[in-house]
Amino acid sequence: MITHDITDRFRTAANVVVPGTLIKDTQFSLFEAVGALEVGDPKMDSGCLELGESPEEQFDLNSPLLPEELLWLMDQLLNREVAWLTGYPLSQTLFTSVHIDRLLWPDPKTLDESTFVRNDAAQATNLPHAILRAFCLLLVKSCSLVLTMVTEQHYYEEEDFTTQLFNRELLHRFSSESILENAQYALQVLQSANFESEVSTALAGRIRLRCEILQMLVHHAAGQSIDDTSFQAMHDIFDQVQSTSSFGVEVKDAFSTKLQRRLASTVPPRPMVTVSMDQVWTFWHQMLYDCQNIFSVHAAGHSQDLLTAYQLFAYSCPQPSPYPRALLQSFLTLNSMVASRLEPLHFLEEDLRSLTLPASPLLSTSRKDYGTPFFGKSEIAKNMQGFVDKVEHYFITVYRVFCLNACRIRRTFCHALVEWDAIQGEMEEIDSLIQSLSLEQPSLPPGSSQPAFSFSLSSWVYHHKLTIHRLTIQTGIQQMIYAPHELAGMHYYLASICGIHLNHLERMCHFVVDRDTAIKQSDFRVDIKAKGAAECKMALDRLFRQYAWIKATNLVASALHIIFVVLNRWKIFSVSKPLYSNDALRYEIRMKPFLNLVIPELMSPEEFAHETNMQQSSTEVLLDEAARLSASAKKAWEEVSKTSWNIFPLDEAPYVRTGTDGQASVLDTKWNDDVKGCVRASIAAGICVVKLKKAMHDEAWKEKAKKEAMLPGPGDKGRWHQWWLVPALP
Amino acid sequence: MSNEQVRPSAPVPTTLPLSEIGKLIQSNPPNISYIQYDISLEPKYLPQIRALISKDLSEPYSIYVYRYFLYQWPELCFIAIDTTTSENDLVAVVICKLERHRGGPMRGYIAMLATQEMHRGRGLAKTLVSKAIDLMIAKNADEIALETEETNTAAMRLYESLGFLRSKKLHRYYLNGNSAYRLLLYLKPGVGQIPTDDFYDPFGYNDLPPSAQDDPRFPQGQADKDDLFRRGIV
Repeated sequence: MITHDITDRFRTAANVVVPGTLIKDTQFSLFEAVGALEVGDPKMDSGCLELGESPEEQFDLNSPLLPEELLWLMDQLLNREVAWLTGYPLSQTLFTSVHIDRLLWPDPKTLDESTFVRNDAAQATNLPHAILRAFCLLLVKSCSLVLTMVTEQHYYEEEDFTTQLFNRELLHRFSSESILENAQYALQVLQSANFESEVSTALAGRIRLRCEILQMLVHHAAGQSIDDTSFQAMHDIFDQVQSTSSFGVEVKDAFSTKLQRRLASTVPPRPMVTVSMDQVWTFWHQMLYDCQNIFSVHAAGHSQDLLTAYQLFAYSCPQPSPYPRALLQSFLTLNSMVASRLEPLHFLEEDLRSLTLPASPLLSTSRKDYGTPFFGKSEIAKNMQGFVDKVEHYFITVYRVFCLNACRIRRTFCHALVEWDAIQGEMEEIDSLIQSLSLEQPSLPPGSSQPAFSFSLSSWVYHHKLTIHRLTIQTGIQQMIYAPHELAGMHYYLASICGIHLNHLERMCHFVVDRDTAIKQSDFRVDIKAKGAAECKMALDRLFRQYAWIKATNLVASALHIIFVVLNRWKIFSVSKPLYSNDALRYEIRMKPFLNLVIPELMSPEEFAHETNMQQSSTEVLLDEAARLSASAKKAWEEVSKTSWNIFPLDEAPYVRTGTDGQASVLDTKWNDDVKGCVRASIAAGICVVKLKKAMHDEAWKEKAKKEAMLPGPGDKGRWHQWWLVPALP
Repeated sequence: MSNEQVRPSAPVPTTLPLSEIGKLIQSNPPNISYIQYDISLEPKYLPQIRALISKDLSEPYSIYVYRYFLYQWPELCFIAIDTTTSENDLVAVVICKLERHRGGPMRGYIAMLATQEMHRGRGLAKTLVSKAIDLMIAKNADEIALETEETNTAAMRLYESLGFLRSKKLHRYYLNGNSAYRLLLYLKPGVGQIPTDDFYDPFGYNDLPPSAQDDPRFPQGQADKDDLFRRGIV
């Protein structure tokens, strides 16, 4: 290293600068300013010490530990692990533990080397330390498996998870088996120890719990769930751990932020993060349930059912934490199969077959049945391959999006929408080519005077795009992105996108019926004809189910549209005039995700305002309409509730999991709750309408409503469903 | 199916020119004076600004953060002082910046806003923000952005009354684990269409969707160096 003394040059240069002048590199960014440390400020400078303060933590690892102290340490570690699992860095959670620190640093080359005090024979025979060490090794190995699962999937650093390890390897190189073996040894040691029996049992329970957690994670890494007995055992041990937590006795200085100095010298000291002990138990139970339940998606025997299953998890309240979401995401690519069932190509074809291409020679899996020699080697196959190559990735990504955190789901949909719009354009070209090569005859779709072609591929794309479009708006409502005065417009927009989707579904049905007729009139073999007819029937079933759901959504949205229009007219939620903006500029911000879509083309702000406000209709007329709409909405959701989450029969599914209660499957329950929430929201909308009708000429009520009306937030009473924001009125 | 791209249409004219709007909002409570910041005020007011702002933060900004803003955009910082105190003590402050957002629109950014507890409810924050916005308009800003904690309904009400809209929700945006809303105000039509030199590729897509252009962060793991301002909220 070559060093130069620059003191004199610095002083000379500094002399020419007037005091107060900022010397700033042009590249010095806000990011660097925020990351910069102020030397000498104890809140920022990790090297800054109080007078007489030691730079090292004060904990003596050789001092004996009482059994109750062991227990306290274990519960504290469970607590900090929860903080880490919810997104906080290790440096503020588990790495504030002196014990974990010594176990992992310097990096142990063998498992035996991973001890609290290195090269100390006395330590090895110290009972409490052996027990605590076993617990810590199990814990660290679990963290390692969690980290691997999360980082192998798509996640957002610092939002979902913080992966900085500060060069600690988390026992990556040591097998889970060796660590579990060591735990068995520790359990034996514990039995032979002369601890008071209640505390001894409590400690053994904690070690066994950690063994179960580690084994569960090992199973997950191999794409397997644990059996129901182990699952139930884990909950039982957790209850036992919770009930004995009060035995713990605090160990002073066992956790210290001073350890952060050894992790990185350039990071300001950050406070330790702990959660309440109640949160610890709630979190663990929830995480175990989520992990176990997520395997129920394997019951889905069809791409559409799988989409429903992923959606049900994405919109669970609370949303599963990052680890279970990563686990759910891992099923999309496990052993190169989607949900352990199909290769991505066949998965995509399954979806196409059930929506726009039943009994079609275009799909590789049915080409030999419905193809002519002309199909197999022609340009058509080449074009079809072009479609698959382009779309396969985007299609799987839709499932992946449902595994992101709620905020990212919406934001990623905004991007995906633009991409699907572009794909639709490209697929229209492929459709046109196939249409001319296959000499397709146009037919007359419902409500149209012009014969049309099926445009099967782009039609499939449009269907999925409209779903994403609708979900983008609905997640906006879910996340309270829209201010109260915008809700009339956004519900109008939601209803209008649903309306477009309903028309499109009718068009899709029309061409499936056409195909059905063609198959029946064809000279295919009898069994092939029967198979083709069955495929067409299945597609029609699926389209009908989509139709029913979107129709119900359309009706609630339309009812709420009117309710918010009336509230706007009466200025119940109104804000003062938006001074620095106007309707057109705000429309541009709000509609930015949809601004560039080729189809459906965004209407002008004037047209949008006209359609939203319905100035031509009197409030009386509107409320009569809203009463009719909310009643129809309720009926429509009740119809939906008579069906189930899956269309593909479960007994034909390759893998069926029932819930731990041995009755309804997890997804059945989730789906029923979901639809019931929509029914309740429709009823609540109906009640709103009744209140508004009654208050038509009641100025006192309106004044009262201005003060008391509110929009129930997620999880609030009166928020019957995440999608549906029904105002709470006096 | 139409291939025509949607273009934003002309704005509905507001009754007042933008430059006149501040007058409607700004309040002048007795014994309060508003001052546009200047570097010469640093010895007297910077310590007070830091004290006021860091009061609500779990972790403090370093002096570099304040100087980053105050030296580059001193004119976009406004303070309110209490003229009844012998030292004309600071009671409220707003700190902003104004620069091109990723080579695209000229974006004003409201970085910090704080009012002393006993002076809240007197319109000081709204007045300071309005003065900053007026100056951004005069300096030809296209849009103004800020973030606020999801539970800070007072802040959202203030900004929404000025014309801001929530444009997105940011999961665990702050170091304390709280989520935020981004709020946005367009000052000219067509701002959403101004291209930026941005890159969004979360799942390995090869194209650049235009709607991705205002995403605050790059793909996983890489924080956007211009927008990582997430220590706290005032």
